[in-house]
Amino acid sequence: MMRNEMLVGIGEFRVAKGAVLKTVGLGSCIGIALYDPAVKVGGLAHVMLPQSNGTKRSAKYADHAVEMMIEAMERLGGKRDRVIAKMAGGAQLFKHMTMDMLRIGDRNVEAISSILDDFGIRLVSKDIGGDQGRTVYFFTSDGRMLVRYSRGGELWI
Amino acid sequence: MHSIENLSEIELDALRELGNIGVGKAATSLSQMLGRIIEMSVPVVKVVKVQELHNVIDVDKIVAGVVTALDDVEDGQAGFLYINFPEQSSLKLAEALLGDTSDEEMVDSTLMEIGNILSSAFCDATAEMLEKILIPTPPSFAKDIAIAVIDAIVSQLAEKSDYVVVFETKLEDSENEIEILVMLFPNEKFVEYIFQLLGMVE
Repeated sequence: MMRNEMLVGIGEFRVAKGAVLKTVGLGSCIGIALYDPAVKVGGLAHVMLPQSNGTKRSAKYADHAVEMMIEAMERLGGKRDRVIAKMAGGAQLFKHMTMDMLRIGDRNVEAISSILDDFGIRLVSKDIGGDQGRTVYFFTSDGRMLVRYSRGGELWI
Repeated sequence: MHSIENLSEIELDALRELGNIGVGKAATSLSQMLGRIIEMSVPVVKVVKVQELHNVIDVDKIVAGVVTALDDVEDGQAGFLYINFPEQSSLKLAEALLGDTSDEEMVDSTLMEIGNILSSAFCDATAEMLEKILIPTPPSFAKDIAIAVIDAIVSQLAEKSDYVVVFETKLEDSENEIEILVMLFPNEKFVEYIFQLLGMVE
């Protein structure tokens, strides 16, 4: 446990100034971090599904999560035209796979890239794909993101 | 359509019973296959908010897991079975069946076969109880922390509901060498079966 750590559950997002945002067990899901470096406000979302289809707002969908996170960051002094993004996840954990729906990771990555484009947010770094689960820490004090792999090893992005 | 978050105690009991019989049958097949007595623990049924799943499912340990979808021949998917094996148990199982655990591929495919047998046995039981024919898809296999393995399933269920029902039970042999965790994630169609089952009782 790190100091000032806040856990982001599956399909949730959190926004903070200074705290470390953490999400565990990203498989095909994706952790999207947004950051305004000028005021050091950041957010992290654990999204499960690529696109909402006119349903009620929920951070489980990538498009809603980005929108809701930007709004929450604005309330903490962030400006949307300064926001940058990082993302991690979208792995393919199944070695032998018979169900096509389990291939959701790739679809998530594609959808999120185009959603970020729509919002005019620059994706500065990413760590996606592979065959392992990830736990992600996002340091809102400086915008760094730590990716820890489930079979060991870590990466700063 | 009945919704998952509003299941009452009686309905959860019916689900527990259905799961119980399904896994019981699976335990019998497994003990025949292994030539050992396999016991099952009292099953637990929980209705969990997706956001809080990490409180219910182990997020630290790496496990070998097999996922199958349960398909209703008449009208589509009814849920998923996730069967996971702690590392020590997967080696013991492979040892009992293969006599040798040096070939990782063989161990993995043994676990898949066990997953296959358990899910078929489970489907037999629901067929007997409900006269509903469920067919398990061939198993998909992964080795990782459990929550990352099931997130694709949970995503699927999350399109319909913010809650998931988790039916969980443990299969163990008497020497405590083998432990298998069976989890059932019913979707709203499976919930319909539960109501049907209750209708039969009344």
